[in-house]
Amino acid sequence: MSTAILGVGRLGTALTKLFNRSGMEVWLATSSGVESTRAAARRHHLDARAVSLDEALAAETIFLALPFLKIADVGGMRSDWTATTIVDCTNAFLLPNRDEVLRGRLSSDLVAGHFPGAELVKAFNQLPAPVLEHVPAPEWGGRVVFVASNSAAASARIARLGGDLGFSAIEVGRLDEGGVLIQAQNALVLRNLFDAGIA
Amino acid sequence: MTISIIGTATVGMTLARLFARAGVKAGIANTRGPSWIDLDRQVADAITPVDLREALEADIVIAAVPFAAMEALGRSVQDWGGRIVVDVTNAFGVDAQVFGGRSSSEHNADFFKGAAFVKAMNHLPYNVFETAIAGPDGRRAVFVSGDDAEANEKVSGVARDLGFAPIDLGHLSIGGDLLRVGGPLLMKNLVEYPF
Repeated sequence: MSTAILGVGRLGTALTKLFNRSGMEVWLATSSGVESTRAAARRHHLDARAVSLDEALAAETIFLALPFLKIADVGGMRSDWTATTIVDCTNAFLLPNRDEVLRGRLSSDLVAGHFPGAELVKAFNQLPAPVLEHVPAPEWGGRVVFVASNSAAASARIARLGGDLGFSAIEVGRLDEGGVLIQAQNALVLRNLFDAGIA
Repeated sequence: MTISIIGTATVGMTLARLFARAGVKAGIANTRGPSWIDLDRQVADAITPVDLREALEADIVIAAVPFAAMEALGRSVQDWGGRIVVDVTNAFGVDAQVFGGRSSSEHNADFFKGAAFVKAMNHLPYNVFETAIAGPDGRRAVFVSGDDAEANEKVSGVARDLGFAPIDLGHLSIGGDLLRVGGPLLMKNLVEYPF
């Protein structure tokens, strides 16, 4: 299953490192072109295949690790996104004109609107990049990440992927139900939670 | 703000110990009466056996009774007068069809007319609430859900006083669903650490 990460900012690099740690292959792309992406990967010691944006957009699973306001441009590059799972790692919370942009809608709904036909999963938006990368102590249990989607199948897939990346993924359901709790800055966002399990 | 625990089986007695350990006072009652309630001396420092009638008048009433007893408990008071009732039950073995698409918490809430109904502390076997935390400054997460934001905050405050990390899931239509039997938060022993 081909997976691409869009963006080599803090989140993109953190996600790539998690893939590297788990020995899972991943493609990396930015809007600045392959050479620029390759240079960024070298700079951050990332083991990823730098690809063009076009090639990345053909991946089966695409992680959106770029600024919220750049999403529209990416979505506009294709008219039909069926057979793609979009993992929305973005937050609109810190936009200075957030209320104007969202107008009462969920940020994930806006993102979904730019990828018609895609299965959209909201995940990996709840914690700062350095925290996502950090494993404090194995005896604490797996770091909790919450996953929301209107597609049960896509949610299960990304939850499983989260597990493969070393997390304890908890699926909270539809974007407009449990998913509301993982929109910044609602109750499940910025919580340093670990699943200690039940012995 | 007075707190009472209704029920002296495993859940009620575990709550009593948690309260006592944290130095938070509460009354405790069951249907048999206060003279039948036997508390360890340490627990008795914080917990007082009282008549059921008195317990039902507390500002926060924790219903530590079996799920099947919730309807009778709710109906035993004609109007709960805005008092907070905390539902710690789980509808194990109950066909969800009984709830007509709602969660068991929303179903139970209907029996407590006039109460600010809050679902909390139902998501783990009660022995787990007392198990050790692996790392420093860790607090076990306790989920709180209800349609009255102020009541949720008050119950969250009690949970915090007891040493837990409360997570307010908001309305029962969402939180009650996440906390249902078979739901994603049930049996999740989550511990929160400072960043």
